[in-house]
Amino acid sequence: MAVVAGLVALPQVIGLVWWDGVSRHQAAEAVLTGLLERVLAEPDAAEACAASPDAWTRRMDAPRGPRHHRPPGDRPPPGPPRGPQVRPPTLEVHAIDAVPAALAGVPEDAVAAFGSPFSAEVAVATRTGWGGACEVAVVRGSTAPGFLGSVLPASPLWVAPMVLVATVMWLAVGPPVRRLRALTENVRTGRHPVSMDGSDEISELSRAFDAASGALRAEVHAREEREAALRDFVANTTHDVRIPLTVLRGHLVALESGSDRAALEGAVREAHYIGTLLDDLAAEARMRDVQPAGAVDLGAVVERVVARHAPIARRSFVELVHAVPADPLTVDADMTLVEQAVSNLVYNAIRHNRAGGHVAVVLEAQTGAFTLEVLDDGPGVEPEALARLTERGFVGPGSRNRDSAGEGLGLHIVARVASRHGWSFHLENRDDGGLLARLSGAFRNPQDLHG
Amino acid sequence: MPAVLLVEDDATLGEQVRGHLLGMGLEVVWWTRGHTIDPAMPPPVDLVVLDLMLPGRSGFEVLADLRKGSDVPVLVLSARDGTADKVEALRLGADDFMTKPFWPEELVERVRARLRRPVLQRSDRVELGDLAIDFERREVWVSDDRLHLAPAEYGILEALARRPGAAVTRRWLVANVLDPDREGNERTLDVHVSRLRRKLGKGFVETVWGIGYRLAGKRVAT
Repeated sequence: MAVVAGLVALPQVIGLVWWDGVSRHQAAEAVLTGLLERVLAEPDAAEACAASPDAWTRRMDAPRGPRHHRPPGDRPPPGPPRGPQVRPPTLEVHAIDAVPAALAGVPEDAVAAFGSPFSAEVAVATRTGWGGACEVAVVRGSTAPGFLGSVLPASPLWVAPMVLVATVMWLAVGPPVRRLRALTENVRTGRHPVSMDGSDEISELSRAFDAASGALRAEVHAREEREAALRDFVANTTHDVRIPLTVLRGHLVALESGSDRAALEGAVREAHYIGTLLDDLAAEARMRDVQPAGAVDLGAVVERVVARHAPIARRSFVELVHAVPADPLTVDADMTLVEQAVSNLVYNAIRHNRAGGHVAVVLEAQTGAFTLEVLDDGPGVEPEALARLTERGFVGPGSRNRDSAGEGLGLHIVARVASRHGWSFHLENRDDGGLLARLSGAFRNPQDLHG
Repeated sequence: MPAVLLVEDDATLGEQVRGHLLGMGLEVVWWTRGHTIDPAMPPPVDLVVLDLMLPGRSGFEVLADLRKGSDVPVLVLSARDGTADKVEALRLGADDFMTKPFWPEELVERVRARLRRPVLQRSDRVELGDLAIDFERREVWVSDDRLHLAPAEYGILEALARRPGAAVTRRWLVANVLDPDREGNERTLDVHVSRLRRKLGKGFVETVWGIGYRLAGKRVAT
């Protein structure tokens, strides 16, 4: 800002000084030209000059500016003169070949003025036509303060108002500029909060920066948390996938060396398990995004899930049965997530059952709500572990969550899917033994459905 | 012999699926890329098993083309887990989908279900081995002998026979078949089922663990 103020003020000062100089020069030239013409017009001037060029001078009174005019008889007080002395004009004559270089090129029958606007010296020269040493007549004078034509006051105090204005500008603009600079520094270095006290525009700006920076920080923080959770999750599930993969390799090697029915069944089970782990991974990743809900036929979902797990149930000697209404039972949901939730319930019930056991999946429509129950006659769950089964990473005693599929992700996903769709999810031990898992919630077409 | 159009670009998987379908006694036409289908001349098959990611025309495009001139059942195979694909496939007219990986038995069961469904939907008479039921006349025969069933017994049998092989819950039967004022509880239902079993003979009405009952037996839908 100071530089800008200087850049604006300096040309103005230079312009004013130049204008003042030009104006003084013009006034001085006019006066000196008048003097010169008057001297040359005197009747015996040529002869007088020719007789004695060196001694030919004329007395000239210095013309005075307005502030030097005094009434007749008003003498200046005695003592040293104040301010610059005004030198009276002087007359000189030169032969044409002796004209000083500074005055060379004087045209014939013309008057020429010399001198820079920034210099106090002024000279006016003319050709007299008298020849010899009297050919060129020159009058020298000065534009010293007080001379005619001055624009600016003689005292340099005229600069003071401009300096004052510049100073006031600097004082007024300086603090906001310093605050702006501090704000910029805060934003640049990421200091928090960046907000500044006050009620001016800069404070408003800083508060806006603060709000934006707060939102940005929250977003970055949430992103970092998500990334950390995802890293953990990937690390854990990678571990989980490696276990069944290792077991699968073992079974395959056993098969290589001979026909081993147990190894074959084990390999099939592990392959199925790896598939469900991948599905859980996909569901977990999907859960992090908001997906639009669409119409999902829960009956079709149950049939697909049962068909998917029927082969593994058969190999585990577990009877898997299901019942769905004859008509579609439609809910607003994310189809992939719902299918994964039901799949996890069914697979969980199969895995934790015993040979000869049963798993039933029952979808029913009741007044305005559906219930989807998955029940088994496996070992059930210890009462104290029941409430914690849906916690992520919880591996119950006796390991109802995969034989500790490390993450204990299956039922956790079910709970989250239920919560996301506004459904309830309930787990209880059945009176006859085994576990009952129940999902329930509203559906789209709550008319009386046919079973 | 029912015919199936298999559209699958992966050679190994395609060969496997083709083998399973042939094993079901089906005739199989196998495309290894998506071809343009003329709506006026859809492929003369009873079922289409369609992969979605294909060279040539995508599975979605094949499906859209097909639906312009045919309502043949379509079972979509998808390796992608996104809901959008499945929703789009269903919107375009797919009847069912399976996500890879799947077990061969799962495929066989789904294909069988798709081939059988349209027949069931329009039948008003069902034959299951020796058992025949005419829904219109409310008549029941076993080995050509007409049975005389009480209304509740017939109601239970009809509910089960409408979807042979499908389990029906005891709760639903009590609520929708029995007279709620006179006999509306599960114990009464069991009594009716027990009488029905005696009249039908063994092997028809099966108890389904955790659910209720279903009608079993070799189905001959007409």
